Amino acid sequence: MSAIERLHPSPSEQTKIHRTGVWLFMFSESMFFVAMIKVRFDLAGSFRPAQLDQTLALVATLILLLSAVPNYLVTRGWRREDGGRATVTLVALTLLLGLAFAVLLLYEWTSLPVDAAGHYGSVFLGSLTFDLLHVVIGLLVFLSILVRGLRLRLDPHGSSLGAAGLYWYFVVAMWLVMYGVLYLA
Amino acid sequence: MSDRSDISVARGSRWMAFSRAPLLRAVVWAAAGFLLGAEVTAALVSDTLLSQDAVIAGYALALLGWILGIGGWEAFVVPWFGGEYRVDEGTGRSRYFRFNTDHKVVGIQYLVTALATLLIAGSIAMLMRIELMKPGLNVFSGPGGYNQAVSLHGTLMIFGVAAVGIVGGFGNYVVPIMIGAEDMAYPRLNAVSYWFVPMGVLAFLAAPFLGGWESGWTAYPPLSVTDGTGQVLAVLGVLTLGISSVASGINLLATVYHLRAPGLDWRQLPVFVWSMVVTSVLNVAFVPFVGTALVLVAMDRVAGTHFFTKDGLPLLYQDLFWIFGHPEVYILILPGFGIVLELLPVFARKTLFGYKWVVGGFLAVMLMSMTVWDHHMYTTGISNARLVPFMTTTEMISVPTGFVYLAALGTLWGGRIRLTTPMLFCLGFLFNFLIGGLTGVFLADVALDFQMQDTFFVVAHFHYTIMGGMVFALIAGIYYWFPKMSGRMYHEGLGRLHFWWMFIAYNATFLPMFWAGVEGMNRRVADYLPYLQPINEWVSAAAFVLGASFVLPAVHLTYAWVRGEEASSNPWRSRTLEWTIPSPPPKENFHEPPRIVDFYDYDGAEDLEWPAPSHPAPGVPVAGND
Repeated sequence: MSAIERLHPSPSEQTKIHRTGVWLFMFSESMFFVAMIKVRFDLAGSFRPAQLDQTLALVATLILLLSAVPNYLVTRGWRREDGGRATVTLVALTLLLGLAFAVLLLYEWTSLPVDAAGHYGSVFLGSLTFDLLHVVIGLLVFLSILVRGLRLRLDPHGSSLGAAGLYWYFVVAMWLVMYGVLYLA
Repeated sequence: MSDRSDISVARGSRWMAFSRAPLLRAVVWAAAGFLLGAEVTAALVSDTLLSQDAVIAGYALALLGWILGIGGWEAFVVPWFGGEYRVDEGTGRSRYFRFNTDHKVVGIQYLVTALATLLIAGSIAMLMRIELMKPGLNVFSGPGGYNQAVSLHGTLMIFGVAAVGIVGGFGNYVVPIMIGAEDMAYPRLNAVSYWFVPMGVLAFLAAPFLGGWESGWTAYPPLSVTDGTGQVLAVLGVLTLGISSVASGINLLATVYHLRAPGLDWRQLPVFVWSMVVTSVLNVAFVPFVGTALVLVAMDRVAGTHFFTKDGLPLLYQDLFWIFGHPEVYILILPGFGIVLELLPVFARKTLFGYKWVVGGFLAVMLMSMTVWDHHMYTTGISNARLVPFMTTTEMISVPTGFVYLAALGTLWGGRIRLTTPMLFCLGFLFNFLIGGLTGVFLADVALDFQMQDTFFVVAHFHYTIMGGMVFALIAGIYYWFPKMSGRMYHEGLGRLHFWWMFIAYNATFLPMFWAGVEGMNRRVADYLPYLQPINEWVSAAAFVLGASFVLPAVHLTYAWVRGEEASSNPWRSRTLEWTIPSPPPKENFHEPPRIVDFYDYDGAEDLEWPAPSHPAPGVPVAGND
């Protein structure tokens, strides 16, 4: 490799560069949740209304946790950089579980068991909105990967697949934090 | 963030039809998006077309249409589904009006947009000074007219000029070349980050047509919740520019981390690159806080929540805002220090004094900037227990800032100083920032701040840091890198005239504002007691002279860009890498591997020859670095 070619990153370096970008993006996004946690405790303390549907939230959380399994299998290739099984089925499975979670969350968001004008209600609506936005973005990315996968062969080395998987972990982790903050605190 | 290896310029006829006027297509798609979003929302909630719900939905789709229309469609959507990456990035001047992945084009796009915004926001300041010439003048219509002008001026200047001027302009143009890379880490993300900026600025400028907003750039509730619909556009504009800032922050960090030329160590990085690293960390970490605060304001307006109104907490907003807001002021000033410290060794012909202390100072300011925000809130009734700790941290942050400042003075000490235009602006920066910085220590003091809060003393203080500091550094950078960017030289005499005109008029305008503030002149009011009239008349007169000083460089530099004398590749005999390549640089920057040298080793005797002959001085291999 000549010295001038080294100014142009190789494919494996490209993967590293993309990974850095996704991590920085996730770091930046996590700050939204840090801010929301501050809002929750400043505004409503650790108050938690009785009318929250704990069963629904627990089921939704478990479904989301489950979606991490196919997501792990999809992104294995990207993290190891030595190939792996990235199949359309696994992507679809992640997408379906994520969708089930989103529907349950959306039900909470629209039915709104608490008064949106109150302290906890404001926090609840605001946090759910932030979380739903992240879930929907993750789902759209997976959906587009699925459409792409039906048209093209999915490349397990492809950075976009790995990036989507990494981002989905982030969505799962952020909901776990918000679940604790909203339903268990 | 996708592969850059497949970037090519489209030549296919099918694409040429679309790509001939991408700017026009972007406008059409944005307008269509706005109408679609606004109409549907208006129909759904049975409201008018320009109600705030309709404006929010319409703006979201307008932004999407704008980004896809300018080239996002071909750059992101088509390749994602298997199509080829085919964007006509244009040639010559048309590159600047397109989706272009060349970091040098993006840099100039940012710079010109920021300067145009500076001129617009400056003109609004002239209107404000007309209003303030006499009490009871009422040049603005309605009681809120003056505050609307203040809000527009401040928001445009902070978010549209100060936050993007140096970071977007020189961060993009200079950083990749300084580290020996051929482009940024994510060129497509870079191109798209720029195109968010005009949309954000246009949102601010459109706000007056929806009644404007009166809550200033800080948008404190409850006023920002009860204000007119124009406030919604201000919120959306800040969010748009915030997306751009975070994206360019991620890009700069990944670029410096991954794409440094072989042999270029972190300990040898030019200080300007360091200032960009530190600024990008602050952007990535803290812009989401203002994003959250503004989204919650929007929810209070349209979703029926009460985060900040009724029995909500208005001070919670101020907390969130200033957790972002104080790092933000370092996002504005650290790039300024980066430029000045980069230029001083060149024009003092002397090694940068205390390189390690400068970098350490930058890093310490970065860390400490997140611990000082309550000093904006001393008078709001926050708990007394918060006053003294935040006073202490605020006064402590002047210590690392002092390292950086002393490094500047140490570089000048015993140097062979060349008073070129960029150097004059650097010295002007040091003079102004000293005043701005020292008055900041006064304001950090709780007892004194209770007296000074919301007076013109504060106005003068932050103008001395942002305009006297950041804008002077920006202009120094423009003159310094002008020959590199344009391949042409500006007229030195006109440049010096510009400096003295601006420097004197600047100080004549803002220095008396400290006295006005001490005497009781309040911010954000159109009228004042008659005893303050003489000092306000003086300030207004000086402000008009200052405003007029911007016409000179606007005309001069535009002319020089087209007709100026041809510049050599290294007219300043500078040692950083951007001066080792032709002016203007080729698209891929380097034809041969860059030679990494000690960038600040100016002690050689051959440098006495000035101005430089047209051949660049040979680099000296690095022996050791301070």
